[in-house]
Amino acid sequence: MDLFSLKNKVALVTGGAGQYGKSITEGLAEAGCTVIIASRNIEAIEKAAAEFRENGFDIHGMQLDQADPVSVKNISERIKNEFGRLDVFVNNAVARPMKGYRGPIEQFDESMRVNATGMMDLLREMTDLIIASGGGSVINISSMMGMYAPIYSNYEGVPGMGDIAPDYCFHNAGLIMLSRFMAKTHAGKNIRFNCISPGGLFNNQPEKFVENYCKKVPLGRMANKDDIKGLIVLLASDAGSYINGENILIDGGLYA
Amino acid sequence: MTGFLNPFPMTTTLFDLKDRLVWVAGGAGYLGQAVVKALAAAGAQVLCLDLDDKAAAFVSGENLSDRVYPLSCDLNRTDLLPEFVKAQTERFGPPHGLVNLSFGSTAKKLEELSAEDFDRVNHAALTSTFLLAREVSPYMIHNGGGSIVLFASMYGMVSPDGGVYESPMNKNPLEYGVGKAGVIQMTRYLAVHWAQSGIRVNCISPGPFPNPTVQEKHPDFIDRLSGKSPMNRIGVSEEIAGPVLFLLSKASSYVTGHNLVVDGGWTAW
Repeated sequence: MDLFSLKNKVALVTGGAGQYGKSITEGLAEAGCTVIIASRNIEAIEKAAAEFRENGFDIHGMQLDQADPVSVKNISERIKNEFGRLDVFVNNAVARPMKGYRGPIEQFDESMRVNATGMMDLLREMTDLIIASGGGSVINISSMMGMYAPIYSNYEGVPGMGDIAPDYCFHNAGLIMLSRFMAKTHAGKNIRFNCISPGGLFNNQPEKFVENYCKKVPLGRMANKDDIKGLIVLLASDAGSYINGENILIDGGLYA
Repeated sequence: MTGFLNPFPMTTTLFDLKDRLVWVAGGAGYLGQAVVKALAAAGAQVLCLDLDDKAAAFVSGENLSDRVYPLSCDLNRTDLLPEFVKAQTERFGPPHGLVNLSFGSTAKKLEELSAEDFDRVNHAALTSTFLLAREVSPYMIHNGGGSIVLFASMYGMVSPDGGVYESPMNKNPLEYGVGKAGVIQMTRYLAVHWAQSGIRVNCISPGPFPNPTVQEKHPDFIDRLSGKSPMNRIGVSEEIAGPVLFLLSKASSYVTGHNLVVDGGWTAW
């Protein structure tokens, strides 16, 4: 099915060694894409890339600290020199320094430095690369937490959970708007900007939390790591060539 | 990377619809044809429903008869719809997917729109859409579930811009957008209602997709439409097919109750 093919395309996935990052990378690679995965932790990213290569995928690890402008410039240069182009950018990296509502305000600042300022720096650089390559697709990974307030009742009877850090919700909401902003700012340059807002991802949370959460989801389960793959391929490929400025929820119907 | 041979040249199973039976209502229209062709190319079996002999003419004209079966059906006839669904399901088996692209519109100015016009168009847009989905649903549920894709519109989300339309063309009419807004809400309701029964329900809101006749007759209109989209162009029918395949296949297995907007960014600004 050529519609969803990403053959001869080059993608960058940030946060590529994380749970979602690996699924996103796998989805792109299965569609024939060459994928560069990037993370601050060079050992973790090299290990993830090597595992993917063992399975026959064309995956390359690169180190990136998006809060460091020098590192952002470096990865841009490396992609240009080693691959000659960039077609797809999946903006998936996130730092979560703040642990709760009353966390030190310096942690909020640190969060913005990585998730807002650094992210914007990288987004601009990658956008320039994609436009210089003739166009492509940017996919920002936000969250339902960037659209709706926390459901505190999900955490009832779950010790140690339920103190939601505000920084995560704040910058994810901003990312949804930024997708629209970028779609308009780069109108007519053959580049599309979209956002994916996943619902709660199953990550071995306490049983009580999973039970509380699933009761509210029409499909009756949390997201699993593979649920995001199809949407990534749709938005990255020609199959999604007229989808632009959109925020797509994958939430099992929670907010229907 | 040169010289690298990827052993997985295509997305293998994620979007697979091989031998799945999908009903496409309004399948011989401009967007419907692109959907039917993409489904046939993806290996699905398609029942193509449209008015009069439109489906038959399309299927024979495009040589699709090995994968697509045309049926004449007037969805307005809600009195006949339950019996029609029962008969076709007994004949072809339960469908995995239902795509409903049928729509109505008067093309009238607000000042000239009669109560009867409004009722008639929305009987088709809302009553028929609801009834077709509900009548098909027990067969889908019995068959282990399925996926329903309804068609809304950007004009179910935002008002048309009068500046895009110039006489003798009227602005996109009220009753059309009202019906499409209703489809978006119907999608949410049905998605929640059937979630535990294995049916996912989503809708697609296309942006500017004028058909080739409009493109040919009104080039200035096309320019004005294009200028309103961040992509600086109108959509072409093939660009609706990918989102439909996504929503019908297991690639979207955690997506339900969503309005997937395919508008080039029209409603983003």
